[in-house]
This record gives sequence, C-alpha cells and structure tokens, in this order.
Amino acid sequence: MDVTAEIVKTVSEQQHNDIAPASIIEKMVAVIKEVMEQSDEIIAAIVTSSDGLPWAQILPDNFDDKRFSAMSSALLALSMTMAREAGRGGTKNLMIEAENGNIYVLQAGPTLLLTVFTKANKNIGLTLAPTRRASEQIAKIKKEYDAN
Amino acid sequence: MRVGEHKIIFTGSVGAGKTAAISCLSDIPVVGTDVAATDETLNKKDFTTVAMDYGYIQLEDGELIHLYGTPGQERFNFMWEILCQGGVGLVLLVDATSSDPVADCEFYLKAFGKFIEETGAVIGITRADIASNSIYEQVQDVVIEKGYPIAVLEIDARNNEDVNMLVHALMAVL
Repeated sequence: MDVTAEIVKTVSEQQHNDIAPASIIEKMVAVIKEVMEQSDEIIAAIVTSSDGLPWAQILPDNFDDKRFSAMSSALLALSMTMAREAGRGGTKNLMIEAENGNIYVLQAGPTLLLTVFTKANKNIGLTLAPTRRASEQIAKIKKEYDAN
Repeated sequence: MRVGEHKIIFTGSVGAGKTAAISCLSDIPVVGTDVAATDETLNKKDFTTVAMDYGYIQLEDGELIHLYGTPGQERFNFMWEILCQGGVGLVLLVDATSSDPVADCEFYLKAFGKFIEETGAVIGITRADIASNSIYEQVQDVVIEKGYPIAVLEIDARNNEDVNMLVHALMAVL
C-alpha cells in the first residue's frame, strides 16, 4: 500500500459514522486528497449532507467538522433562497473572500455539499476549477451509492 | 432597528411548528431555508430549516414585527446567536408529542437564557390536542422555577389567531 492510500484509509477509518458506510467515506476522502494535491492553496475540505452533517473530510485539528458542516448547509441554503427569489436560478456555489483565505461551498449533487478552505490566493479560478471537478466526482460517488 | 420596528425570534425543537407559525402569521411569503433531512428529523418530517425563516407582520397600530425562525437542531446553534441579535423577545414552541417535551422546554430556556433575561419570552405548546398527556402544568412549573414571567399557552401553530395571540402575549410583557 502506498503512502497516499494509507493516509486515505486511516482518515476514512477515523471518520466512520452511522451516516455513511466506510467504503463511501474512503472514496470521498480520496477525492478530497486528490484536489488538495492538485491545488496547494486548498488547506482543508469537507463533504457534508445538505442538512449539515459531516460525511468525509480532511481538516486541521482545530476545525470542528460538525460546526463547519452545519454552517456550510446554512450558508448555502440561504444563498439558494436569495438567488431563487432574485430570479437568479439555482445556486452553483458560494464564495467567501476573507482576509486570510477563501471558503467555497459547492453543491455536490442534490444531497451533498463540498466546502473547501484556501490560503489567501490570487487566482480564484485555478482553485475553483479542480474543486468543481471534485464536487462532480463526489456527486457521482453518492449517486452510485444511492443506486445500490 | 428603527422606531416602531421589532424583531422576535421563534425557536423550539425540530417539528415544533416554527416554520408553520411564521408562515401563518407573516404578511409576506416566508423566506425559508428548508432542505431534505437526513438525520433523526426524518421520524417527524422530510424537510428541515437549516438557516432561518423570515417573515413580518404589520400590527394594527402600525408597528412592524420582523419574525425570525431558527433551526431546531443544536448543531445550528451558531444561527441562534446570529438571529437573536437585535431581537426584543423569544417565542418558544414546545411539541407536546415529542418524547420528552418538558426536557425540550428546559433545554431551549437554558440555551436562550441570556437572551430571555435581557428581553422576554412566551411559550406555545403545540399538538397538545393529540398528545397523550397534558404537559401544561409541568411547563408552568418549569417557568415558575426559573422565576421568569413567561406566559404559557396551548396553540395550533397553523392557526393565525392562535399564533397572533401568542405574539401579543409576548409583546405585552416586553
């Protein structure tokens, strides 16, 4: 087993919970790991349910997964309501530009969200593109899981 | 908040009727943030509020009351703090059919304790008509023990008159 696979396995074992089976968490952690490798500006990421429960994550110790999951769902839900009421249609993602870095909350299929945390970065597109692909992969994993 | 405008907050456990109460009271369609539930909420309903509900009513005397509803689950307690900012009072809804409604009541009274002490509160017991036991007296006892001047009413959260009465009871103690 190579180092990456070992990390993914360890992280996903730690995250096993009643909500999602370990095999799904493992696949999602692998996607998160890949996107973090593609963009060194991404320092943390978490997959959550649309009602704010954590599914899979790679977060620093001082990040509370439950709290950030709930916040991600609240933020995206409110953004969707605002966009819809303003006639802007569906919400693809939410972007928070903060002093020390950005936070992106993306829809990952109908029932999951992907939230990534970045260092202060100059090129949003360079980070957002791989993050968007990751959200699509996560949506696909969930869809396959739902189908079985 | 401008003169003649007030903000009140509706809280309580999942399925207690917060969204319903604001919907039936509000002059405008409620700004809601319902999403599909995946947790134990599913035992009660399919959708749940994750950020807030918002509506408003204009009272007969011209006062404008902004109505904010919180998510019920404790994991959204950061929204409780955000929504209470600038608020003048709390409406606590207690579902009489929940597994331990008195514990629910005590939990939210404690969680919003500081806000209640600074402002005021009223308690609406919902689904009392279909609950196996009356919890009215027990809830009264909790309130008396806390020493708060909190009115306790049994209401139907979908009934405009009932919710109106609750809000007026709250405004009377503020």
